[in-house]
Amino acid sequence: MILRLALAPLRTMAPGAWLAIASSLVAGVTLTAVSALYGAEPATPAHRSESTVPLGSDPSESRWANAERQVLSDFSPAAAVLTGVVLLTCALCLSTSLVGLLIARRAQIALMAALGATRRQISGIVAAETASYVGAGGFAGVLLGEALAVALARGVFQLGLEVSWQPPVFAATALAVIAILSLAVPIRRLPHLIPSEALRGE
Amino acid sequence: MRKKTGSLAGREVMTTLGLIFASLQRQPRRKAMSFAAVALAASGATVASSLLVGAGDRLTSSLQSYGANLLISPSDPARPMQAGSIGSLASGFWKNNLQAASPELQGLCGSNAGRIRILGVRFSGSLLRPGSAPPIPLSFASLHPWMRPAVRWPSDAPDGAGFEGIWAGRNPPRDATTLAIGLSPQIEIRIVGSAEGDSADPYLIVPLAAAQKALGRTGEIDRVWIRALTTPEYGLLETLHRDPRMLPKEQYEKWSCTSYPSTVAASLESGWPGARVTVQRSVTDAEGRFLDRATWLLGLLAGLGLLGAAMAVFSTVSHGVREERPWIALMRVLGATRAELLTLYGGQILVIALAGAVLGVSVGSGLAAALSQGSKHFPLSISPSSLALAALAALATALAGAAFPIVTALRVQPAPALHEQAAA
Repeated sequence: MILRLALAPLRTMAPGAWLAIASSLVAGVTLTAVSALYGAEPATPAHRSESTVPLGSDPSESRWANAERQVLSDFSPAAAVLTGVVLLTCALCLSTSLVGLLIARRAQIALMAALGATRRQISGIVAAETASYVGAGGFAGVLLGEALAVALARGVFQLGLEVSWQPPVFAATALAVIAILSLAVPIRRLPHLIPSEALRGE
Repeated sequence: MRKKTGSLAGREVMTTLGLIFASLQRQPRRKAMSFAAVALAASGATVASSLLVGAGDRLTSSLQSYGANLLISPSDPARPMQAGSIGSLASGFWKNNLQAASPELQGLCGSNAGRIRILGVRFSGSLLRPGSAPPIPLSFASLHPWMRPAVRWPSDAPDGAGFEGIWAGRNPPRDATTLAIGLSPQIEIRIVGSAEGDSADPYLIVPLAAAQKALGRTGEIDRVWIRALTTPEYGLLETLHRDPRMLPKEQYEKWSCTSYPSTVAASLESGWPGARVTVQRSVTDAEGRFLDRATWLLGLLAGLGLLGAAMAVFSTVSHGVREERPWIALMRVLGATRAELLTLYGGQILVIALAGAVLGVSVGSGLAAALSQGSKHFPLSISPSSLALAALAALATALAGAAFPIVTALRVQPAPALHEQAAA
């Protein structure tokens, strides 16, 4: 029953809903993959025995890991800017999709308003629907991002990346913030969907 | 058939442009959203391309803290290498890729403080390369940056009081202590400082000439550490064969023409008879891994940014087309062809994409410059080609995002659309 109710919005999905899910998925992949790959510990070379080391060799194996961390920290601002760009485009897409969905359903919204639904109640329905889209897309994005990070880390970067709870939690938190910000425009446009005007369009 | 005169064609172009600009003023919020998405994607692509071009060379040269990536040692341990043969480094095919070299000789010798391990190195000097290329520094310090002497590096040549040396390891003697090392006649080494050592037992770093005299091995060296500018190759030989000669012809040609560490090593080995050149895999692999990590991350983010922008453009254009269905139907009824509609909607998106790409590339260049200023490893390399590439990527993204909604607009059937409008 609960599952049916939760999946109810997905059954009658308009193209705008799929776009909202897709943009959440891209945001989820970005957040999870980038945070997981940043958290991956750099590999250190295998231990060298004292007898094989010529005099004057590097005494500290941790220097390797430190140098890699130094390069990564040097690279962090660029990665942060690009992650911000991706998240902004996703937020734009999510916001326009939600506005489009509202406009496509203005008659339905107007009918609800005419039957006595308050703006708060309608906003709640819109927010719940947004949460279901972002939840579905974000969940798939987090899974895909984690898989992508592990595949890249092991296959390309040769890092021992273990699946961790931190990147998904970070991604989920950031996605919630994006969803709330993206909701601002459609919620602000709700009063423009005046019942009389909208019902005329029915 | 009517032939169009030049002025008539010009008037048609002006009319079309007028229609495009007039239609741009409709639904300004949606147009602004598309514009913002394209600008964001263009700026992301510009940052990624500007930082990645040249990052490899900068990364390789700035990772000097890793020290040498090639080691030359005798192929037969019983036949030591001659220091004079080091000149062959300056004449090999990859001579311009060599950044530094450090010839070394190590051994155990007697001294007035008991038996002591010594390491003979060059503290200064260089190897001249033919042509205008700068000489190759022959410097222990440049290839052993982790060894920082407390005072200064000694000089190679003896002064009036003999040679100078550095104590590496624990319990350094007091500065200005003099040790007499080697067989008779013994060589006076004045210790001018100490450095962090790599081994449990301390040792003395002395000029190569002093070590050769003290060990009775005039003109000999044990090894040469080399720092060479190389292209990451990890996995190539492992994937195919260990021996490059076993590679397929096409792969072998690519291998021999690229400055892979193994290629440079093979070239150096062929130019120095009796020497064996080994690649310090852990160093070259680490460099490749760094660069790959950065390239993949930046590329992934730029790609995801473009995908997000394409979806945003798709969303705004498709909603716009849905709202303009009655207008499209009316234009079709009044005689507008599909080609004219394509020109109108394609022109709109092209203007938005061009403007977005120009703004995005400008903002992206500024961002890349700001990011590069605070970065040691990612140089700013704004080239016209990378800017053009970023702008083209943004344009292609916008067109790809708008393609399906525009095709939907062209397929609008006038009668049903007008019927819907009339019913409303």
